[in-house]
Amino acid sequence: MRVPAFLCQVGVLLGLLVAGGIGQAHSQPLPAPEGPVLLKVSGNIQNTNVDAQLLLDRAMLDDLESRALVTDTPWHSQASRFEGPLLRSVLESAGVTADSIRVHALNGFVADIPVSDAYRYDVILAMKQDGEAMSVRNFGPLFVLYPFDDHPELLNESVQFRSVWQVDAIEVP
Amino acid sequence: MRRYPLRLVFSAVAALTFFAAAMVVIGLVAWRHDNLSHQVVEDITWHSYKLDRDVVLLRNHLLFGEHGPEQLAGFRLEFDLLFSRLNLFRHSDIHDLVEDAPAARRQLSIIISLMQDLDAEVSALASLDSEAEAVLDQHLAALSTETERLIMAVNGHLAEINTAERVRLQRLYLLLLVMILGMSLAGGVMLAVLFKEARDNEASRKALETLSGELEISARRAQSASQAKSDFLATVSHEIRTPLNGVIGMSELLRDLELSEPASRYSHTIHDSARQLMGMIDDILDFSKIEAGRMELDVQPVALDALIEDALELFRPRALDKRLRLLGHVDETLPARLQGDPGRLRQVLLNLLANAIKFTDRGMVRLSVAPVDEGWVQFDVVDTGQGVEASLLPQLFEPFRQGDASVARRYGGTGLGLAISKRLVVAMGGEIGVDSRRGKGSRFWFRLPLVPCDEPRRQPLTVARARAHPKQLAEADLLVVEDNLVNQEVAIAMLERLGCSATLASCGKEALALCSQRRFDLILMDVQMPDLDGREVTRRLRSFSDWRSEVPVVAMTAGGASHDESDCMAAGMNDYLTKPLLMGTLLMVLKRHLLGESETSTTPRGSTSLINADTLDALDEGLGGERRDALVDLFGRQARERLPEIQSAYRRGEEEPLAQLAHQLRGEAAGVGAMALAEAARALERCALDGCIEDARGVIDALPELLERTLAAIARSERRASQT
Repeated sequence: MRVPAFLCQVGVLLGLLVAGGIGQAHSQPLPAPEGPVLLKVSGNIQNTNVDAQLLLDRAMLDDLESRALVTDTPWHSQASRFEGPLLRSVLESAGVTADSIRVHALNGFVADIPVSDAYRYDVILAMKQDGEAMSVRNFGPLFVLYPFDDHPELLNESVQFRSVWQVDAIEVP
Repeated sequence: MRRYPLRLVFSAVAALTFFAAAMVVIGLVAWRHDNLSHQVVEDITWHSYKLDRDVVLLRNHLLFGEHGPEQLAGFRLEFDLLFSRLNLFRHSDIHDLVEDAPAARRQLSIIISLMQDLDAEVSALASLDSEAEAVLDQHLAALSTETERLIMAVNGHLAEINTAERVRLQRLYLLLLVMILGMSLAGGVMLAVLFKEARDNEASRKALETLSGELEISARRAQSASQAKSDFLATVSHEIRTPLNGVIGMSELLRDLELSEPASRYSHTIHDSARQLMGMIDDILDFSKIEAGRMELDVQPVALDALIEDALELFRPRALDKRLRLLGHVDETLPARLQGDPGRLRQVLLNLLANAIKFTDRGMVRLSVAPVDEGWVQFDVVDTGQGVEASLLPQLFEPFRQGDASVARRYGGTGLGLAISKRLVVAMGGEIGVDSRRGKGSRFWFRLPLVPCDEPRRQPLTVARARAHPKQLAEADLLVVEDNLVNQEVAIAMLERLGCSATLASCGKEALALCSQRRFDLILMDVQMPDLDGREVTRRLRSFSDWRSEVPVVAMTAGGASHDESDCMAAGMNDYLTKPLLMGTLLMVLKRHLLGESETSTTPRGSTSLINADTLDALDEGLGGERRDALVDLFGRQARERLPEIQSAYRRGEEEPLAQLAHQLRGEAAGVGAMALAEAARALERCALDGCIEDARGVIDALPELLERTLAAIARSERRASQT
């Protein structure tokens, strides 16, 4: 009789875990995007809205927790004020559990970014530069931007490589 | 601070300078590496290439793609991406690099104007038809040519930069090399100097070692020479003492004979001269012992009061002869007993007192003792004598120096007294000094660190064993153990004079043999003998269980060393005589051990009995009844005459005559055993000498009655004696 009791306990625990996972997955049911899709998150994610992907338009990105940061970058002639959702809030809304993500750009550039970067620094997906939406010519619509001026140690080759501009998709392996 | 050789300082400074310069150069190299910003160089190459490639791709897209409205949007997006690439050249870090390269800058401005033309075309585009396609392709073809040239221009510029940088780095590395060479050179010089320094040090160390070795040898030589000198002095002194003892002993015996006037005077002179000579030899022996470092302190509880009193007592007759007042004062705050070497302390005091009395012709000599700093006691001997010239003061404590040559002629002496005193005081951890002015007297002082002690005073060693031998001296059977012929003769003659019969043993073994054959009442034992020394003989005697374990053994020592006495007592001897033998002391010792008497001076003060029967008995024995009675009569008459003189001197307040009269009375009274009277006279004498004549009133008032009582007591004892 001891063995079935033990199995019962394990079963209950497993049930709780699954229920919790489902609960978390369904805590923020996401609607499909209404405007043009700016960012497509795909792969091993828990929260999806269209075809096992999370598609986000400008309005949805605006709703996420955002930051504004004033910084100079190696790609601009002077410091500007950049605004956009925090990378970690984008990843959380998609339910990413992986350690690393792969960011794709419109021009075919691909870079892997450790998820820990998004938590250690206030990395944003910049959408606006000095209050205006960033065009493709100005490295828009989304720009993975590290707070270089607040953290000078970030001015190194590997972070500059991760600073992807003209972002259109995030793939979670 | 130590002085370093100039070369060492220079080379060290040079090495440090070169090192600092090399560090600067290394820093420069590192900075240049950092500053070169390979990232930017790589970026500009990469972006130039990507720009060219994007142009090619866009042209391909245009030529081989399909042509519809959706394709136009795609084409525009790709054009935007191409434009963003161009924006990098215009705004990012690589812009600065492009600005530095004239060819690339020219190329870039061409590309920008071409792009602006193209932008205008693309903006105006309604659809991608073949006509538009042809125009765009023409534009893109031109653009492609320029972007390719941009790559070349950038590459050319980078090649130049690299070359220039290499040359600059090479120059820096050369500089660094020079610095390191300079540093090595300076370091080498420094090492060489240090090495030379070390070698020099080693050499001088060796030289010093050799020197100190030589010094040690010569010091040892000097020391052994000094040792030999001291040994020689000690031996010679000892050798001189032996015959001198004979001279003193014999002249003492001679003095007692009834000689005619000149002969008596000669014998006195011989006796005094011999004793003076002995004193000098003692001084020399003492000094040589101190110099040889053979002096040992015998620290024990000392009663300062008694010590001072004894010292003063010793000089009182001499002071009286010169009509000097001899005063003593011990501060009441001093502890009753202090830890010190009584023998040495006494020796110093006697030296200073003897000097003071010797050089003072009128006035007084005062000895005072008082505490100074914590644990220090100061002794002052002040006199009103002739004083010492200031120029002579420094050499006063040097050995063999006297004030000046005339002093030596006038007063004699070895001149060792103060030198010995100084060494003794220093050995006791103290200091000694003198203040004096010519004609104004002197103050000799010394101070010693003496700590108080609470332990009871060590039992004096000379206390005789309480043993009753009620025998007349004439019946006593004595053994004299003495190896020296002169000393034998002196001892035997003195004993005969005292009426004792004595047997002679000329060595320790003979003495032991004699003692196994017959019994003696007392043994006089020489301490230093060739075969067995006196202590060993005594030890062997004491090991028997018969009379020999108890017989009184009196040591006869050459004197000098202070520990002889305790050695003798430890060996089982009962008493101690220092050569030269003197009738008085010999008689006292014999009486003490044969008749069980104790010395008069050990009689406690205050409880003095009126007369001393033993003295009277001794007079009886020595003189016979009639002569004793005559002597007592004479004493009575003289004393009765003296009393009024004393009283008148007292009334007139004349201290010196009073002291002298009291001294005479004391001597006469003691001679007939009138102890209470002698004690009273002594008190009177003290008062007169100390200048407190007023205190003597009670004594003077009591004197007539005391004299009558004493005479009556003597008369009673005479009657008793004649009845028996």
